[in-house]
Amino acid sequence: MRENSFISNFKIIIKLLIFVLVIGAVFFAVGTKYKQAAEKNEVNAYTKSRFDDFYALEKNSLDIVYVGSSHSYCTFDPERIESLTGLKGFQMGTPLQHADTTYFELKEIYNYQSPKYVVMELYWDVLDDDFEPKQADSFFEVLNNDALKEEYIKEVFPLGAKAKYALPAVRFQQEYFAFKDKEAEDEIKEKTGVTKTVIQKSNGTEYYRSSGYTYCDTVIAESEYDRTNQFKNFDDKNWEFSKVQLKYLEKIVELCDEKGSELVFVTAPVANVSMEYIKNYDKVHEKLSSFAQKHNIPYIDYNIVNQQEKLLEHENFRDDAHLNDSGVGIVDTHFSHWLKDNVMHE
Amino acid sequence: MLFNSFNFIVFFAAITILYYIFPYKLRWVLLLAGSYYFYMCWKPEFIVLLVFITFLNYISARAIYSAGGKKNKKTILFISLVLNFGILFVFKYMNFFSQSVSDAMALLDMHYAVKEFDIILPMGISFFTFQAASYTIDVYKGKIKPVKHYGKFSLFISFFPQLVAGPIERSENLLPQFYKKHRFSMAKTVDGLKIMLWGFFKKVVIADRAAIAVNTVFNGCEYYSGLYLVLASLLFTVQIYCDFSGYSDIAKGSAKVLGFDLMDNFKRPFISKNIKEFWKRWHVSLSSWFMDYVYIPLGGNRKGNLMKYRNLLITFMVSGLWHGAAWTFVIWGGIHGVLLVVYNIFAPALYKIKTALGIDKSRILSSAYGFFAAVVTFGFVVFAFIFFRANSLEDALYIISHMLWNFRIWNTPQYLFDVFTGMGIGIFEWKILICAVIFLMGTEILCGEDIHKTIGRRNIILRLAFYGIAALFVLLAGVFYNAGEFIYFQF
Repeated sequence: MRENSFISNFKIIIKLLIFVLVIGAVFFAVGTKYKQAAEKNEVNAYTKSRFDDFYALEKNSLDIVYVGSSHSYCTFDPERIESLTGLKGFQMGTPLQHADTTYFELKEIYNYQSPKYVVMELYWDVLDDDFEPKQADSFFEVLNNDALKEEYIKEVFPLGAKAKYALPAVRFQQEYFAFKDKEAEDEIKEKTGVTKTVIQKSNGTEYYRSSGYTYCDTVIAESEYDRTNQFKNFDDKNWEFSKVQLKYLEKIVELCDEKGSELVFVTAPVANVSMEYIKNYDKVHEKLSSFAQKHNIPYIDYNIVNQQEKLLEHENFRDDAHLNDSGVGIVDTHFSHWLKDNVMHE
Repeated sequence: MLFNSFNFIVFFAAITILYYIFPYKLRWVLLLAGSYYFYMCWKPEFIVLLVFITFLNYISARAIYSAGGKKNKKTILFISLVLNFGILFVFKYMNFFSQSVSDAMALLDMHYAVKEFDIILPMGISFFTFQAASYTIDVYKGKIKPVKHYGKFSLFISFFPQLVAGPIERSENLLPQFYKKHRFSMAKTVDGLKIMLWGFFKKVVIADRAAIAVNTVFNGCEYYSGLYLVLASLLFTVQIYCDFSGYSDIAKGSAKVLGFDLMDNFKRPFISKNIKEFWKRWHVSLSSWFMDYVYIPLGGNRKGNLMKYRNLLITFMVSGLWHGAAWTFVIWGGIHGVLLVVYNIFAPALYKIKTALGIDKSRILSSAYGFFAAVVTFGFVVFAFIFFRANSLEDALYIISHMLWNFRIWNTPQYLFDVFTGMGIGIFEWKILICAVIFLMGTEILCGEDIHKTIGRRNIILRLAFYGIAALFVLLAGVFYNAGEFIYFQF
């Protein structure tokens, strides 16, 4: 038989098809198993507590909500701000939250609350990403609205991410592995009596407190001054909004307008030492400011305020990018006054 | 566009279908357009650089060929190489060079502020520059005639399967293939897909999983000591092998689907019994490039042992620098150079000892020696890779000096539990990783150099089982979220 004859090609195709079918069947069967295990898994405890508390709130009881990435929940303590402004607030930041997620989160917030003010933290390093699956996943883990999830996937997910999401064996793999890891660890602990020792990388405590706020009194480690500082080699000379994130920022502006909320933009401060590394931060500030100006949105950038007014010391940061509770106290006091002077009109 | 992305699968499927539909005479246009598109998915503006390198070497080679007199040919070659490597220097080594000069001046108490140039390293620049330069040198040496067809020459420089991380193909192997009419063959397509599958297995199951543990430890090494550092170093060696040979397999497999044969870049390097053998098996396309275009022009082994050792050291240090603009890479290359020199000095004595002990005559003794020698060679390779992966020279020295800490408690359940749960991957994923590595190594040891040929000779059940296991590993245990880029892209 010739190597490239019709019959030989046909035989190969049949073998290939059988192979694909068998592998496909196993792939989908295991995917179901992954999904079942994933459902038993624990999700990020802080985000879960935040959303559980949010869903338990009395309807239309909030004056102000805080949204954005970890920089939001590491900067705005709603109860502290309430004590200074009288605005009852809730912190809805999620890890790495991008503008696309903020938009869908706000839609969910409006299903339960009618806040007068929406404070959105603008962390520039997530605004130049087109898509980040991890932050979408962590939002999905706590969101109790399947229709909104579907809408998010349809509108935001790129083709490759949609494909991964549609395949349970890929989508739930990490959760399944985490579940099996825990199972294996428990078994070893039971058999040998070992206990989990965590390498001490921080010098403080962190816990979910209330109103969506996560308390943390860790002080930035010395290694983050230099060696492991994530902002080393940051040059924002060519920083630009991602088209996707810009689109969702515009949609957020429209949504808040439609719902009658006043939108406020804030950029939380990164550690003083980190600002020394970042080159051309003024380019980022200009672009964020001009977006805010274009839409007539009040905007305060604490990286600039901190540079001008020397508000914060090293000790006010938990790491190279986030405030600790002492820093939150300083920034929230400043922010409350600024809010009263520039945003709250009555 | 990463090989391990959904976009590549769609791109590759589309290119393959169009390739066999297109009339033969226009296929090069499709492949060239596809290759440029592939490169532009990263940063479109850098296509200018690729086009310039192509143009430079095309006209240089033609000018060398038509120039009269050796002196003229040599002048043209010199200008061409200065431009080729000058571009590489500007994009890759400028900051490293100015910083190193400044550091050297500081030693002489002459301090000045270093100007840091705002340069992005173009993906794969070291690969396509070397491939292009070797073509021009080969024309100069009279090994090949220059190509007339500019389009096909452009394709030789930019052929997408091997554009960003090799293998660095020689013109005499790849160029003639662009003139061949490739008919669609189901058997060849399936062969190519099998090679790709094996590459994906290495990359997404082993390399990307090992990378999590390696990055956890190497990026914060001051928090770790003892077994953590030993395991991370071992894992990095496995990671870089699976990452790079995985890329080479996907490149080779995808080229095969289109009817092209690329050279083998890795030949089971971890069974090497000495460092010389290791370099015949590791990154073959690069090591043979350095052999032909650096070591031999330096004089090779023609001018006595001392010159040979000098040439080996220079070649390997330059090879280290090729991998990255940092002293850690130079030291990595230097360690391999020193190991080769030491091996060359002691090889005759070793041979005498082996003969005296009758090791080669006894199968058992020979196997035991082979195993022992492979373990020792692997140990040296792992040691050198610490410099390759460490974020700085200080980190590398810290890792080496803290590797044997807590040795007395290495076998205690608590310590082992802490290590295996403290490196960023959980127990279950360790099990997957270990099983995958055993599957890989077992296959490489049992199947010889051409795994797919050996498996192909077995009965259908075994074939199905082998590729079925590999496919299920990829689909069910591949790292798909936050999958890493290929390490060699940065070179």
